[in-house]
Amino acid sequence: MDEASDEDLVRRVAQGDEPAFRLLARRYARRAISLARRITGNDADAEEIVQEALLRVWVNAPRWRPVAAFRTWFYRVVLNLCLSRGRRAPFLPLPAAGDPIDAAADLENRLHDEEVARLVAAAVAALPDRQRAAIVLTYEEGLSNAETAQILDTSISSVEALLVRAKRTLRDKLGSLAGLTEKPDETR
Amino acid sequence: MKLAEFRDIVDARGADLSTWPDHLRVPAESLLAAEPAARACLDEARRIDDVIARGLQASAVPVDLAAARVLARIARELPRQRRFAVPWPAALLDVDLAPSRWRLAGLAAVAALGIVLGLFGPDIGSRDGPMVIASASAESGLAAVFEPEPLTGVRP
Repeated sequence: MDEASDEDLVRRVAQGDEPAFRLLARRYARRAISLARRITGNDADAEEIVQEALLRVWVNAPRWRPVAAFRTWFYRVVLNLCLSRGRRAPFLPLPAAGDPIDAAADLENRLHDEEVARLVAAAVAALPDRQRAAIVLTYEEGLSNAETAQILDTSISSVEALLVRAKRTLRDKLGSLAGLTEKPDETR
Repeated sequence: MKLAEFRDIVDARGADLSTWPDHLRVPAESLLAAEPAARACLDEARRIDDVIARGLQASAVPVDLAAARVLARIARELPRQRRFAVPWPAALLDVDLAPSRWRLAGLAAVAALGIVLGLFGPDIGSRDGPMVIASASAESGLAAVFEPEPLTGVRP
């Protein structure tokens, strides 16, 4: 069953197959929490939202129609819950702990990378909700504009407009980093 | 294609021209060949894309524990599923009943055509014009019914 497609699993879930539902949930829980965390800026909200979204999958699976990929439907549910909840206190996400410390790593490069990560995360977190969603779905989830449009329940041209506005803001805030991303020991 | 338009398209569609449709990629490639400013714009866009992608990746917080908590919570008793009262054939369930622009446009066009035909279309109800009830002769017992109304002279 681990190799079954999402759509096959949803069909089984529609029949009340609980193991199929748990497998589907395991497949998407991490990505969904990351997405929700980026949009809401809050760990507790992200967990609640993903739990609610997964339960909605279980409850509504018998009525689900395969007019779009399951991922699109599920991300739309997660995003709608995020956007309707709004954001609570702003937060500045910390960079991940990352790989185990390599004794040979250049400390200066590592500090530089962490600073870039902090600045990028803060700049994205400061965007308006739908612009932030478009950026996260494009850059972190790697989705096309077409799929992003389906998830945001809007047109492709609206997604493009969101990306244009978001990137202009990010370019203003992060443009200097484009020149600082080169590590000291790199050559052109 | 002008530089400003090229910049917008790069922001909207990304800096990888291979993903652009032909009608945008071809003029963009011509512009890149002719304009150093366009090449600088594309290079800048690629750098910003790289910064954003790497920054988001590096700032991602591990969510394994959070995912485990969520999965543990939903593993408890699940609520009842929402089913149709009548089991519909699978073919009907596959029909997309969600509104679509084309279906709505078609419906609106047909409705407009119906209104226009109703208001301005040919009157096919009668060929002979309005029906007139001939008045009965005075000798007929129906005279009282069909003679002009005394006050207004209106014939039925």
